[in-house]
Amino acid sequence: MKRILYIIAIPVLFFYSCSNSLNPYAPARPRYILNGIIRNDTSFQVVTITESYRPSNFNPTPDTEDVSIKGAEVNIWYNDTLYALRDSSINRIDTSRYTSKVNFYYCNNLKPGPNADIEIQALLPNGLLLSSVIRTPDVENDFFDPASVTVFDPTQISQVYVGWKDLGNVYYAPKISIIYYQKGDTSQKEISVPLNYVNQNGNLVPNYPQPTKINFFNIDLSTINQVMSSIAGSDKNKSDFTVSKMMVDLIVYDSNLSTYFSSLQQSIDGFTVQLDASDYSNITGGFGIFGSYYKVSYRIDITRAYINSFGYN
Amino acid sequence: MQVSYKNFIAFLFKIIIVLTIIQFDLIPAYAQGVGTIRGIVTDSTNGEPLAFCNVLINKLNLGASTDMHGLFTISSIPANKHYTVTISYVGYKSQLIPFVVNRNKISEINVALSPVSLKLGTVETVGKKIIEKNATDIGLQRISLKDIEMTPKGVESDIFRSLQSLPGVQSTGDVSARYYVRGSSSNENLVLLNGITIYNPFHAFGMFSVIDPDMINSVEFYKGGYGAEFGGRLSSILDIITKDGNKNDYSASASSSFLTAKTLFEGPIPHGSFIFTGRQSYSTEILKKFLNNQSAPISFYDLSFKLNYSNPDFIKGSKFIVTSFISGDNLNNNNPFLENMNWSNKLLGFDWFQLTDSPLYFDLGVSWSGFSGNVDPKLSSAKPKNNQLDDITLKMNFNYVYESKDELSIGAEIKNISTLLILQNSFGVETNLGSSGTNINVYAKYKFMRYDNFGADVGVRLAATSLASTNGNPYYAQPRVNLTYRIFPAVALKASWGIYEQELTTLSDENEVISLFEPWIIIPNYLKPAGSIQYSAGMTTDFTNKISLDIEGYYKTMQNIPTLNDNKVSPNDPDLLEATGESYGWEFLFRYNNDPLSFTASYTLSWAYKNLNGWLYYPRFDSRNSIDLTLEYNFGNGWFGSANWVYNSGLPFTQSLGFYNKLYFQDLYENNPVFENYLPFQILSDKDLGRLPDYHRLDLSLTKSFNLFFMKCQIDASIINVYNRANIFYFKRDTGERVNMLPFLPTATLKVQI
Repeated sequence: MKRILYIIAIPVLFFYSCSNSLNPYAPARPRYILNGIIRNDTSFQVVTITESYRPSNFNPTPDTEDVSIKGAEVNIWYNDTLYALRDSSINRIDTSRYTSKVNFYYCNNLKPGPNADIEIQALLPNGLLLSSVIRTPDVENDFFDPASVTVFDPTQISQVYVGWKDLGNVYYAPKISIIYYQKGDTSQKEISVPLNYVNQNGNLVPNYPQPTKINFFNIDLSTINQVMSSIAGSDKNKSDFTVSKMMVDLIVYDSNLSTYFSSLQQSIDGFTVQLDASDYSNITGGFGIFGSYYKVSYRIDITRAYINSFGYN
Repeated sequence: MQVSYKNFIAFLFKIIIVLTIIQFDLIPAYAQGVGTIRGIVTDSTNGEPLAFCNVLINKLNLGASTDMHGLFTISSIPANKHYTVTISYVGYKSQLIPFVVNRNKISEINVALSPVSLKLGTVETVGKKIIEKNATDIGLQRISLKDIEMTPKGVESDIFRSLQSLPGVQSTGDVSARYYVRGSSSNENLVLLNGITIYNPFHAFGMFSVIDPDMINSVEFYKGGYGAEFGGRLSSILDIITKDGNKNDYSASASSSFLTAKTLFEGPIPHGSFIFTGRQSYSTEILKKFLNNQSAPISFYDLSFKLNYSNPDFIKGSKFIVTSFISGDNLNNNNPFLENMNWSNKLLGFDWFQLTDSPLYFDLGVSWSGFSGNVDPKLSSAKPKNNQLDDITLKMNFNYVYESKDELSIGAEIKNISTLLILQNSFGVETNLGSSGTNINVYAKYKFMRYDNFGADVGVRLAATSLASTNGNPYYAQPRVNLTYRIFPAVALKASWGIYEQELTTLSDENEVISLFEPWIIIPNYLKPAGSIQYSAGMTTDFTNKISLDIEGYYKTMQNIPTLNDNKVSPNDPDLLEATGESYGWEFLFRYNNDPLSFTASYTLSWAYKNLNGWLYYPRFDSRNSIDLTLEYNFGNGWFGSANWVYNSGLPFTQSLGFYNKLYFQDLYENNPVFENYLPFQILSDKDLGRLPDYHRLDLSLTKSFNLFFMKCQIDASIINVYNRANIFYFKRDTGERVNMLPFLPTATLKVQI
């Protein structure tokens, strides 16, 4: 019996004294990251360039040293025109980690059209080149489905349907709102319309549309009723509110931005533990995303009788 | 080359002819003037078959062990003489039974052994240990009812976790009951419950197996070198036979751990018995220890039912079995913005086991095994997933024992499998990978047992049709050879070689150390079926009746291993890629058993590699050195203690090259996210080139069995990780936080039997 105990005890003590240190890093040189999302709703386009870092205790959050790269030569080609980006900086809104200004490169004269190629090249101060080529979404004039609702009349239809062309494997981000005015205030106001309301522990929680690959949505009358009621809220002077219309804004991601966005959705549940996440990038020579989106709008009129039924003008 | 349907029918026809010849004893006997004894050994208190009992004819020093049905056969016994056969088994009183065999006849000797009373203090010493001199059992581990009862309970007693202590079997840590055998992935292990495949044998994210140990009668575990009667997996076979149920009296038991409550009912029916078991989780508090203190709203259950009927007035020597098993896991989030998940297994089978007047027995079985797994994203950003698998199997096995002691086994298995799988990958591409097909396999195996010191098991498994590939199945013929040569009375040399094939796979992400959804599919048509060639050789040494040492070496190559394509970004990219694998190693198993003490030590030295697209890497479960020491002591008066210490050298992990600030966005209507919406993201080095620190852990367990009034009670107290070793599980890739495995953790279970 004693021998057996010795046989167990000796290796236990030996291994208990083993070193438990671990260096999670492999030798490496810095990597560079370019991010930019070109948009059609503005001519002000922004690109950032940063470098990788190696926090000493392997926890990146407390690492507050600015990682932006200044002095790069950044050019964009669109429609055979060269747009040279200038560097600048602005104050940071969120200073919980970094307190320095946000450094970025910009141009304010590029407003791309649909289905167009855009190329970017960034020559870093150390001579490294980051580059990427994208094509903006092919959003034509007759993009929305002709069967989409143009006038919301609850006496005729019980739900609002809006559809649009399917561009394939890309994301669409719809945003629905009701436009209204309040007496004494000339500014236009808007209230977001959810797809529906979800019962969560007895409370109705609005379920707003998320970026999706589905190329349509439907909203029930009950949901619109609830939104309409909430415009005035507890204000008893309903006639002080003038409801104008319903607007659908739709952002269409290009294929690169769609793939990148999809790759961000990998934390599919709270329990799966994935060690090595696949990382999508379309930046040659580095990491990050260079993408574009196209924003279009669609107007839905609301019948006066329906608006008046809530006491609004 | 495919075997044509016509050839297959012709082959079946020949089988029937051969069986007919055997049935009428037209095959000349190997030796004249000899007879055979055959019988079933059971527990006298409940009629439960006792697997792996010792059966020894003292005068001839000729013996055998009972199989998983409690059946033994000893042939080539000189006729017309008086003998005594000794039947012995750990924990039971041995019985000596006189008999006479008649020439060319089978003498039936059915024995009911009585268990030793608890009050006697210790279990009875088994008489002389039977060494089956020419048993072709390399790579096989047998686990009996008694072994299972002695298993330390821990949080939840688990047969899968018991397997992890065997040499050649690896795990990736405390959190998972998944096991990896000789360098193969866990989806290359076949788990059979009463001969029916269980596709998802795990509860609670893989932390525990669905098999309640209380329902198990016996287990055979093949780490490799298994015979032609098994197929469909590359790596290992876990063959579990459940209890038949008490044939003498009705009884019930209930037990509870910190995680589950379970119950068991059993009793006699006319000419048979039934058993029902049920287990339900009732608290997830203990699971927090496994999930880095994270709460998981998961619940699980499993139910099993078995009914057997054996009426000699109906068909002599027959046994009919109906078996059913259901398990389910549900992860239900009350929050509609968090997804729900559920998994379930459903098994139903009917089996006819028949002993004939000749030394032939056969069994015919038909079964259905269904698996389903679903992810309902509700209003979350999770991706919907749905996997269904239905497996309808018809199989037949015939076994004939010649008077020369040689054995012939032939059989066929017809398996119809249909799968449905709808999912989106991480880049949002939706795929339906479901398909269906019928797999017809036939096998023949001949065991040369006529020489005392030499045994050979030569067989072939033929795939008449293929589930997986329309481009031909390179493994349609799977020959297998298993040899044993006893060079000295105490030393046997053993070797095996075989080709194995697998046509089903799971979509397993190698990067996930905890995985909730591993759907089963038939390997898509654009890939070939996975195949493996395995060699093993070793030595079994029985120094004395109490000490044994097994040494085995193995070498295994794997081809066409389906591996998830991490870089699928377009619908045209394949979901799976073909990888190759290679593994080799040495395994040592030392056993010392001298009541009341038993000591087991195992050591494994192993290497495993995987090659994907020319990139060679270590699989996540590749551990170079593994040691497992187990000490068990029966103190008497119902007290039983055990200590288990495990050591594994560090598992591979992918080192980091650093972090970069990755752009995240959800809503592009807000401010331009390019300015500030960044979170740290790890840049990874080459896959699995780093090594985590070594793992080691000591567990202690103490069990007290006692009678209280009319009840049999058992209390088990265990301490997991006695010296609170901080074994690393993984680094969180976003925060760099080190997550450790189980800390010091005391647990207890209580079992009451009426």
